Amino acid sequence: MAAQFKLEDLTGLIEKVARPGLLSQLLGKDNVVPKSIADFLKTGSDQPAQTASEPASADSASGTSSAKASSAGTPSARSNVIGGILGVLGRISVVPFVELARENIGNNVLITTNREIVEGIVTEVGSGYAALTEEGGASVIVNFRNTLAFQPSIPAEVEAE
Amino acid sequence: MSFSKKIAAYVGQSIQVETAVETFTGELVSADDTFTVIKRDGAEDTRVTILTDAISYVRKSL
Repeated sequence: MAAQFKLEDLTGLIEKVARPGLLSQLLGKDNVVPKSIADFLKTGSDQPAQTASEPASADSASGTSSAKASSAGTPSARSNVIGGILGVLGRISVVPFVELARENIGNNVLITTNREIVEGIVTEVGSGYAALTEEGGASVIVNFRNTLAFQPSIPAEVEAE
Repeated sequence: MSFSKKIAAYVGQSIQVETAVETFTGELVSADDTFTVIKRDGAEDTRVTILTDAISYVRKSL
């Protein structure tokens, strides 16, 4: 039977994973970042925690991550923690689209989503979304989490030349 | 401003919510980082709760 969680439990778990201390370890500077993430994911796999958290490195950051993963408990709990981290990393990965969209405020653009292609003039860009005004005047708010591609639209008359 | 807060500005208005597999049209009831709730057109008291992260885009017609 699949494990069931209350919404409050999941929220608490995400908050725990996303708190600044751990995030700064995962997303901070230097070469600690990839190793921390790799160690954490390795510990969160189906392998026993003792095997995964053996002192392969004296690095304090990776040691902290391993300790946190070991305390996560069952494999399902660990996979939830990993899911939370990947979720946080996924949120961060939308930033390139935000920057692209900001560069194109006032321009006509084509945004390919997992639903269809949306075309319009960029009027506003927030953290993780862009607001467009379509040719007919409708407002569209595009979620960058489900955006696949972004391109400035070339006006038809320019393209014909 | 986040995507959910931007959507929440349309509470009480008729919108079109597009996901990868379905389109939901109706009055926006609420929107937060977790769920977006709309009351579908033509269905009395039928509320649909959509995972906000699963929304591709929201369209508000004139």
